[in-house]
Amino acid sequence: MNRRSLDATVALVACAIALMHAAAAAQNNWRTHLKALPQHVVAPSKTAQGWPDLQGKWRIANRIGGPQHSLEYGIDPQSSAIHDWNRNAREASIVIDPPNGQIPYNEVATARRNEYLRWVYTPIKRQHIDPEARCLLGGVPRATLQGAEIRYAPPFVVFVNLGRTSDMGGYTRVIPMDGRPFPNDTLKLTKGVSRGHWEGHTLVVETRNQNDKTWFDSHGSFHSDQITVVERITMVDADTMYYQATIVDPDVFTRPWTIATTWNRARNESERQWEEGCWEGERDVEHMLEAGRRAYAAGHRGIHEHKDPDKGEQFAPAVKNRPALSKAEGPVRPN
Amino acid sequence: MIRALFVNSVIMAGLALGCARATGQPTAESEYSPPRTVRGEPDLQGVWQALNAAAWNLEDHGGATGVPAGKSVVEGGSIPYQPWALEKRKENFANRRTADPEAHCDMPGVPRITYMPYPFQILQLGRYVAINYEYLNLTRYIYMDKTPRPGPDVIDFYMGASDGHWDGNTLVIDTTNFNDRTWLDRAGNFHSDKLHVVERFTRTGRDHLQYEVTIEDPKVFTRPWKISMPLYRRLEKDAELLEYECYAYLEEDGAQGREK
Repeated sequence: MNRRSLDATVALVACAIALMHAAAAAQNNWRTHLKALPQHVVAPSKTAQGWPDLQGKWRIANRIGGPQHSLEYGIDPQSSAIHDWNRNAREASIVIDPPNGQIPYNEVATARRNEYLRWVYTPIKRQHIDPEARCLLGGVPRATLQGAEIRYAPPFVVFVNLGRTSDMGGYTRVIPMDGRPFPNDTLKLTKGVSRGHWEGHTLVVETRNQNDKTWFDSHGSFHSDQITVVERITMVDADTMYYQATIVDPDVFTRPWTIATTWNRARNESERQWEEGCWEGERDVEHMLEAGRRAYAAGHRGIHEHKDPDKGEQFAPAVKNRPALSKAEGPVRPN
Repeated sequence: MIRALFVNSVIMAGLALGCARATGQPTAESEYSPPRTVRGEPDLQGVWQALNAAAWNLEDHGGATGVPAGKSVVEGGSIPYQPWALEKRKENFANRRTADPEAHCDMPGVPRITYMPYPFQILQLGRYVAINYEYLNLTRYIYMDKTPRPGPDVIDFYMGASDGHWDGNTLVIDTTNFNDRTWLDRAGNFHSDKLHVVERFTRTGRDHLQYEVTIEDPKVFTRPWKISMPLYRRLEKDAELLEYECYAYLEEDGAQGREK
């Protein structure tokens, strides 16, 4: 086979693979996770008030932001040992900048982050437990990591049905597009305060005034109340949206960093929204603390950590034989 | 459909006006013609809030520590409880500091959330009207497109399941599928899971909504009864909802009461 025909064959195979992927994507309404805004995107139609029409229900096809998901490592391999349902489901980092996919914590913040990580699966204090698992509101960008239903009620862009980890309930972000100023920096809210504007076809939302109570994921990735987030949402094609968020928080990070996810148009537009009662009758936190305190009584002192693949570190082998915790050990109450 | 709605609205408004003239009693609904949204609906959007003492007690009550005195918002003055339910209300009142679901930061139910001392925002989004509340960052979805409602005994919600329609310039919301875990105020007024609530929101001016509610519950009351009150637009420049994350504050206070 000469070089030329080889090239042609390679091109053909590549085309076939691309076509298969395209067909699969069309079938599943799922598009490969985009790491950057593609060069060619559609120009969305305009609404009566002249806004690019991004309206619709937009969802992501994976568990980003949910339990056991780390922005940096995807589905946590260690959690696979504990939760069989996400074995083999590890997804790549959604941090696109810095290029190593790691959140650029400063030195002090790294120590605090590692402390949170240690206790993720064996919490002995409420502060060890993911704020979302404690039913607290998701902050920005976490509230929007699962996508959003975008609706317009000028002068507001409305993100309906957000937050927590399921597509049930959640809270509504009402984003003024009328250029109004932010409140004073001294006002702090869990959801922060958002202001939006258009840059071409891209919806740009800046969020300030967040308090320091939320995490970016279920793995202790925290921020301070000095955080500023800029989200950029661009339609790629009729069924695909590119979402990017840049986080600046000089108290915690050595540099700005950016995450990216890809949203797909949901097909269940006409369904009724169910109520999510996270707090009502909530007992999970109590049980998590009970389990963590028994592990503590059995001599475990924070079993979880993340390794740095850049330094050739590997994840610790899965915990296969977890200690049997007898009732007789009873709960301990440090602090 | 929008056009039909609009025509319907005009006819209804005309009827209301006609009736008001015929009876010689101008109604609030006939006096004010609200602006329209781009979809042609009466525009009820904005940030609104009740300004009364109904959150503490729907009926007449004097003041107490932390409790502003208030006149009854109940038509006829008092709630028509069945005898057993009146006893239960008294018991609730006696135990209100711990028994009130609000003390546990649970979702407060309907219509209670409307007259709690927190603002809410009405957003008319087409297929549904979203009512967004500062309290717990809750959202109610009011389906205007006949999206099927679950059967009455299939599933219960704290905030119920709602459908809406326009009656002239009035947004009418019909809500069922409630559980029996919410109260109507801080004074122990309550209902069962057979609660059926019909709310009517009518703009009576640039900055006012009239709020009328019919409450029906054959397990607890002897007959349907009504409350009504004005709601006020928050006129501060750039008024917007902040938040009241009730259980987050309970947790911070270490008073969550669920951790033995």
